[in-house]
Amino acid sequence: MIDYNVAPFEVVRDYDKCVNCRVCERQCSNEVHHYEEGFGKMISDSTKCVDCQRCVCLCPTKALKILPNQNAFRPNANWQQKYLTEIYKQAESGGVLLSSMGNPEPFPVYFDKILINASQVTNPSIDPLREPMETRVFLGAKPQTMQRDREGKILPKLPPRLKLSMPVMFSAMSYGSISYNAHAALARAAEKLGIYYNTGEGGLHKDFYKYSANTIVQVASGRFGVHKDYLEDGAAIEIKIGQGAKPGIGGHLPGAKIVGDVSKTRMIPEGSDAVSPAPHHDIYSIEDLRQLVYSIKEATEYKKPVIVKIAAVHNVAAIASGIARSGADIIAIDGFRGGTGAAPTRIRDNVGIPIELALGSVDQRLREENIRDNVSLVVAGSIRSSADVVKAICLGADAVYIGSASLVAMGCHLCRTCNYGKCNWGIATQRPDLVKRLNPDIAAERLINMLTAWNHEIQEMMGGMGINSIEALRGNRLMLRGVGLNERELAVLGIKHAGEV
Amino acid sequence: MPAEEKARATYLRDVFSAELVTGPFSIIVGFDGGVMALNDRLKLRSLAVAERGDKVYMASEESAIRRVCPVFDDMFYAEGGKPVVYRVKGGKQ
Amino acid sequence: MKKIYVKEEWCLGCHLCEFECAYANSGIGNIVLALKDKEIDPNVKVLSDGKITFAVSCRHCDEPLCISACISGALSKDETGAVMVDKSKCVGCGSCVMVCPYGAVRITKEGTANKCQLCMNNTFGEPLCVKKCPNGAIVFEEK
Repeated sequence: MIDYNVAPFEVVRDYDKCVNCRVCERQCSNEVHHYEEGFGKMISDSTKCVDCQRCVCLCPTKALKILPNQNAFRPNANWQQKYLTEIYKQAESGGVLLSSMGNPEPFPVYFDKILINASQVTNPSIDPLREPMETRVFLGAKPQTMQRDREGKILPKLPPRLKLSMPVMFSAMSYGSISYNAHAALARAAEKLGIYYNTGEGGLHKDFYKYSANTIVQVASGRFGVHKDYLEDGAAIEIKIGQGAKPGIGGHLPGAKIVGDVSKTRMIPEGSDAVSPAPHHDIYSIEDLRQLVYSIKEATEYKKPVIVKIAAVHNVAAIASGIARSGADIIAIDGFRGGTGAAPTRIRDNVGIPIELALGSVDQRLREENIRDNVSLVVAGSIRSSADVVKAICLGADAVYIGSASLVAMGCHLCRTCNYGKCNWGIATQRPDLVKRLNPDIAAERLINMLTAWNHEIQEMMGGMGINSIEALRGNRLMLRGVGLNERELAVLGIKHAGEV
Repeated sequence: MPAEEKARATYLRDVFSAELVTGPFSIIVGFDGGVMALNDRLKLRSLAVAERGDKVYMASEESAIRRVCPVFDDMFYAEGGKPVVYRVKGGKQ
Repeated sequence: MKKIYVKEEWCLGCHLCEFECAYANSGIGNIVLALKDKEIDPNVKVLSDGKITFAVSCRHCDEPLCISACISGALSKDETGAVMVDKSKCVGCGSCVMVCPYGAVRITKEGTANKCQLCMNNTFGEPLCVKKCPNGAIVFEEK
């Protein structure tokens, strides 16, 4: 049998700097490095390297670097090397290609083509160091009528809502796809920051019930881990209809990762593959969705907001309009760049639409139909920085979910091999020796640091625009201008081109 | 703020969040039966109000009022976020 | 007094503490020159039984057995309470090695005793193993 596989990376070691401390050998779960006694030096097997950067970060003398393997097939703008290597893999295995994390293909990134305004002269900017800057957000449906008491005073009755100290929450990542320690870090950081984290479709581990005030519990198509206490223990309940990375299909967690606590939390036997079905088998129409939303509300005594999470697809505006009328309090939209623990490569790379366009289209549609106040909008699908957060809010979002960004804060280097379960950073693995590498104290602190920094940046950008409260930013498309966008793109986003007044 | 007032203020802020006006402003709004002067919450701009007899003068600058009415009984500046309302004598209530 | 404590639930057995300790006490500013082609003899040693790994260094005991055992007065407590070694007085008898219940003292190739001195005897001033541990398994705190 011919081995057609080409190693994607090459480990380059500066032997002048290497002191044979063997940290790289001890810390690589792919067994790339080892110390060769006879030669008295470290040898690296580049074919096993996934470019997770663990050895590079830990080397005390910075003797290592990972380069793309320069071994090149003949250049071909159409038959790029990756298409060839993928065919070789499928010719050998006959299997569906699986990938992890978000779509890496060079589709346009609209956030990078949108610019933010700043105020000068006619409308002065506000100094965030001297004036109060409010980034606090409430998520939930607005009441349709105002009620007054006998003296004519307003009765402050609000439907259930979530209170966020800043417009960012941690996105749904299931226990099973990420480790116990990763969940612990997310839960602690959410509590400390005054925001929320999401259990994902893996259920909620008993040890995290104490963070229930900051937990959003997810009910996905497989209904893993869903029981009465689970629903009671969330601050909100999210019905997951779809996910940006794999619209139209359900989640997949290989049996190898369903061990111990993961299997107990999901309520399925150890070793069985956790395959979530594509649709919820009890939701086959919009009326069925309304029924599920209300059954959940009944089960939780109407005390918790219900979120419906959908993937951004072609007619997302019409779908969102239906959901806004179904009784849901919040709609979460996940764009095609969203991350995943494992998804079929073809679906991850070719299905769905960018969140910026989906958001522009949904927000405009809901306003046109006068139902924008029925729901709050939360968006996800590659929010990479505080600038993305500001742009998303200007396009109409109430808040954003961050998934990949939170993992990166905890040490992830986006090597995109989560599906092998050997994450060297202790994030996307269930192996106890690897999970140990993610110290939740350190990881939680990193998450808190990142979002504190983002919050300051958001305040700086808001102050620069002459706005001192995030509500005035929401849907404020006049604060955005596009560059290098064509007429249709500008129309869908609802913004003008840079240079237009 | 007492708990009841706080609940009402939170309700208004939450329900009508899209109507919140931010940034510096000094505005004078006429309505049937009167006039209202309003400054932004943070008092980033000036707004002067002067009374003389049964007349009231409002302008963003004190100098503008003095040009028209050099002598007056009382002059004060509007507080940030608190409307100053005057009703016309015999006007609509 | 601040001491070094190990949280064995976070120790990964990576041995970086050993190499950083050797570098800190080498007296050489450049880490490559300090460690290249040298056999290290650090003051902290990573022990393992296959399941648990743990970095062991001097506990700076309140009642140090090594100081009682020392026949030449080479070991003493400084004003902070840390147990320090004066190599010029050490005669290499090994009594301290025998009485230390943690195996934290050893006789080096030079023939004198050596052990962790919280990096107060080198230019770093603060324990380097603590700073460089990648997983927060070694901490420097008051208990």
